Amino acid sequence: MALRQIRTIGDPCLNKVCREVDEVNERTLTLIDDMLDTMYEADGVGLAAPQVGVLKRIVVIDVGDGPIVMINPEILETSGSQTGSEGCLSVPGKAGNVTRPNYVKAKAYDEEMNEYIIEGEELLARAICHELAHLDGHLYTELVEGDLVDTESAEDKKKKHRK
Amino acid sequence: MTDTINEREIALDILMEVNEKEQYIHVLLNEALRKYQYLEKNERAFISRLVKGTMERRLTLDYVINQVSSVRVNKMKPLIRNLMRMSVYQMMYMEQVPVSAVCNEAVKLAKKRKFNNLSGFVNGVLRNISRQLPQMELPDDYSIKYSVPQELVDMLTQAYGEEAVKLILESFLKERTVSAVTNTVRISKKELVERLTAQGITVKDAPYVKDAFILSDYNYLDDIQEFGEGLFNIQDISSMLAGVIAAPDKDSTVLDVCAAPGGKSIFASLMMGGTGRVISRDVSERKTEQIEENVERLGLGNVTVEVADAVMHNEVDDERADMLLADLPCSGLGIIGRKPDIKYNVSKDKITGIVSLQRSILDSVCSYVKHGGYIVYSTCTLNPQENEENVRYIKSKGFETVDISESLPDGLIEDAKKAGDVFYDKLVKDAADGMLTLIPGVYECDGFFVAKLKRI
Repeated sequence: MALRQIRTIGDPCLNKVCREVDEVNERTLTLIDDMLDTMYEADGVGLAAPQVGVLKRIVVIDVGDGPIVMINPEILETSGSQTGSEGCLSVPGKAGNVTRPNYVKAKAYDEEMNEYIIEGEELLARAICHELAHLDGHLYTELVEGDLVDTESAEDKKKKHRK
Repeated sequence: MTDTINEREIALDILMEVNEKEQYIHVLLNEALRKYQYLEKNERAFISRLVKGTMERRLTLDYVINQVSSVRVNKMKPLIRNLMRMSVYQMMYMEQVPVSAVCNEAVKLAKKRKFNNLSGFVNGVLRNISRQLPQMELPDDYSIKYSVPQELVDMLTQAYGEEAVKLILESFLKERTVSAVTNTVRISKKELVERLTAQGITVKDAPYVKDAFILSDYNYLDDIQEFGEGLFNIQDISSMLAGVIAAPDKDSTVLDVCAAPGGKSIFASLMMGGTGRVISRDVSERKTEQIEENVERLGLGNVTVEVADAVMHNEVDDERADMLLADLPCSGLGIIGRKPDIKYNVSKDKITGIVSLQRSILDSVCSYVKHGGYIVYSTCTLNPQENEENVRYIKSKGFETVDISESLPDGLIEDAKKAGDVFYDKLVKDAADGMLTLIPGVYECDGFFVAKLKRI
């Protein structure tokens, strides 16, 4: 298991448009494994390659139903809307209300470069939108309605500090 | 992306801590609500209702689950057990939540917490329960009906009688109110109520205590300017009544030996209109800080806060007090309506331990009272061992009871009459003997006991 460092807001990697993946090689597979490990370790439900400093169009997602790897993903269709609290591993300790489509249909390639179609509702739809935005250099903070709020209490911060 | 915050998951985490690790529900709930301050008011209310409700009805919920589930509640994995209880609570007592949502959310949570293999069980049992609920009849057994351990039902029946037990147990399940007392040194109740009402806060007259009122429809107490300015203090009606019974004369020296969070000290200070002196003590700095905070906020000049362990006798204090307030640590059976975890943790052993602590505090503090001065003994429990028997114990230390009939508020007498002759007779007889037992359900407040005695 290899963990990579999660870049946080302010890091230029997070504002760049990522490149398409032409072929999946050893390095790509290692990157994907590392991204999953990093996401699970951070208790995240999604992670995009630029968040670990790699400007490639790759995201990993797990909303509780097992890992999903998306290479060169594209959103095909959306419908409905949901408004709810959203956070990002690159914006630690914060959350804000974001409106996203409630249903998303997307296409992507898996690790063997087979094209597939995925449909998701609620949290999965939200996660797909959130992660794909990273690939074009966008963070959810641009979309927050109202204030960005602290999700950590003062005591949590103290505890972390001690660690 | 980080995980989104789910109110049910927050509630489940709190229930796990309370039920599996015996943490205090009110502490955890307050912490969580502070942490998730940014959630909408209705979302926070949902969490709070779900956690308290599930705790309050635990035995009833377990009964219902056991009727349907092949795995008994106590054999389930802790997370699944609490998830099931919480979900059945929503089905039975939160009509606005559709059954399908309850099942779906429960399945999602089970999966999220890596119980993929049990998500089918959760779904199956919950759907079965929802189908069978309309026909299901709960037994007429108080323990299951009111979700109170049989041992406690027996204790209360023995002490207060069948008729009272039903009223007590029913009242434990009722919504609790937040009551407050006006800082009459600085503002009149009328003016304060006008200011609060103008902000959209609902204010009602409180029963029994003339300067008190009931607050509702506010978001955070700390956000109410009048609270920050110290124009009122939060205190339960029952505890205010201890102050009403105490009725210290102007210019008295009042010693409050177990004072945190300071309600009774403050009430006494207000009753003396800022004259005299109130010495307000508790065992640790953490506790006295609460008192100090309240005293400072109210701006009371006649209250001194000190750290002192009531068990340790202090000779310089002998015969110092015109009035001693002894609101001792107790088993808390009167406030089960506020802290439902209390009822599941009562045991005869624990009570015996508490009684002996109360006795050692009484051994140490009784001599602080001047001859001719008073002790006002109180507890927030419904247990003769900790109440009447301790009054007898105080008497044996050279005290006599004082007739408190004249101090009883009219509303209290009316409510006793309304509830029945048994209760009225008890009220009158007890009062002549210096005692008052506030039975919740008969009276509109928490369960409480107060006695006034005079040192000979």
